[in-house]
Amino acid sequence: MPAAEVGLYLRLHVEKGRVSVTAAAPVRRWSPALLHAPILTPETYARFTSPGAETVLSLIDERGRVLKAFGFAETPQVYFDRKAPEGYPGLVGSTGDPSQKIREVYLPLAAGASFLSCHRSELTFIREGLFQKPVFNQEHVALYSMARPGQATPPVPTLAVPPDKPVRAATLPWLPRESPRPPRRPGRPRGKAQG
Amino acid sequence: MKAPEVRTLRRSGDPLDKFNMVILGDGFQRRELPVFEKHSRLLSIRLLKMKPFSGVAKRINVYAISTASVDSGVTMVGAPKDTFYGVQGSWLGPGDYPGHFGTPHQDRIIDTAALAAPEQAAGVRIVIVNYPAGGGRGSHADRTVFVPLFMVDDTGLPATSVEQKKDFVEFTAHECGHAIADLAEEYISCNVHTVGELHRNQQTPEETAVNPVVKWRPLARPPELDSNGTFKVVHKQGDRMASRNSEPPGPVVGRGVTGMLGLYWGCMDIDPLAASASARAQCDPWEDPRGAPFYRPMARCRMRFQTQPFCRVCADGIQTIIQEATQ
Repeated sequence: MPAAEVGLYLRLHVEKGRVSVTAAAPVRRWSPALLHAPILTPETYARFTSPGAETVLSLIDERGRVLKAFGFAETPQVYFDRKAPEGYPGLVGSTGDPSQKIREVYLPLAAGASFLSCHRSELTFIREGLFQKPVFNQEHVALYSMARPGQATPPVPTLAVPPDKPVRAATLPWLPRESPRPPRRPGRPRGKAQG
Repeated sequence: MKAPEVRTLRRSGDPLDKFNMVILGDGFQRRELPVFEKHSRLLSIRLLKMKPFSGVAKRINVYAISTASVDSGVTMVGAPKDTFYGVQGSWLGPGDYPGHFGTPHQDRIIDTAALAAPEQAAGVRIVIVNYPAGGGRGSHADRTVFVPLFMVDDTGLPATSVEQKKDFVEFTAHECGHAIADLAEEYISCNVHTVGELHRNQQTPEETAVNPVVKWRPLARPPELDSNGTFKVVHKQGDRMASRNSEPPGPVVGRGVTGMLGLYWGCMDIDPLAASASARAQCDPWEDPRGAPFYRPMARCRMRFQTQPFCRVCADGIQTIIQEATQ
């Protein structure tokens, strides 16, 4: 018997503070090792001395309660490495790629989750005399219904980070379900797709 | 154009229950596909013999997908090429060291890789780029690695076959560290730190502010901790560094504690306040003082120097993710 589906795969397109889900699928195995709770919150931001922005994905129930929430650095890290120039041992590198817009994540499939909500938290600093004053902002970015095809979506509840104007929950673009495939022998071509 | 052709190089089980390494190639014309296939086989054999992949090899499937491009090579600045995934880069231009690879058509990579393993299945995509230089690119954001062929060295001279294969596999392993476990560089890449960037092999000041217990302490062995439960080895900026063999400068600690898990200054990031004060300063990958607040777990690691084995924390990170996502 196949294992129960306990996780949610999401392919996100992230650009200029906008987030859209371009593919979603339930998964029966996934690793939570890289997930963490949001770092930038109204309770924590005053402890920090560096600026930053975080994308927060929250699973919420039909009453708007946050069941689980996870934070992701807004700019995904892309690493470039190369051998150091001749005469220097080791690696040198840089990070960041403005063309990188895709982000793939796995979340737990929380029982009772009716919506996937996305908001943005940002910490900046403004100079006040000799001091740097922290400025913390949160804004609603997107809302998706967790309903599968054919299921009804409940009314949008009050959100923890409210949008400027009323929003509707978009439908998640679920990937087609996989049908079981027979095992294949290593080394044999698996067939051709349309090029 | 030749349609994508999927080959199974190693099958351990159903892709939805296993970790899938899907190897793709860009910039290979049809007549050059044997070069892609040779490099795919090389990775499927050597990478899986390397720790920590060797310890979880029974949980890994490896596939290679051959796709022919119209042109040979990939787009570099000023020299556009028509290739299957549209990989483009800038690798040898002045002021662009160390260069980069990427593609605006990332969806093509994801969709083609899904011919071997469903998109939602756990795994990593490795794109072999038909370009002679050395280097690599990895990101956990899209679970994708780009790695060229390492056929010439930094001066443009041909690399020997042994060097070429060694560099190709070792760099791919380093980039897989980024793509699978979101590991930070363990040399100082002078990435200006922003709050919210967390990596299991880099301890940041804000993490210490929230929780003073170093996050890799659970992996410590008893001799590595003092009676208070804190690390015996703390190598701070200004402490002794030295080079040995042909390796970059590394921390020098007491004879009895060499090789121990601890806190070693200088990881990927630099302090934003120090960075803004010296924005034009050249980056020193191993001893840049702006990297003082950021710590890594061990003196030696493949994320610092590609020929070294992964340190305990990085190896555990890769292995844990593969184990948790598979059966």
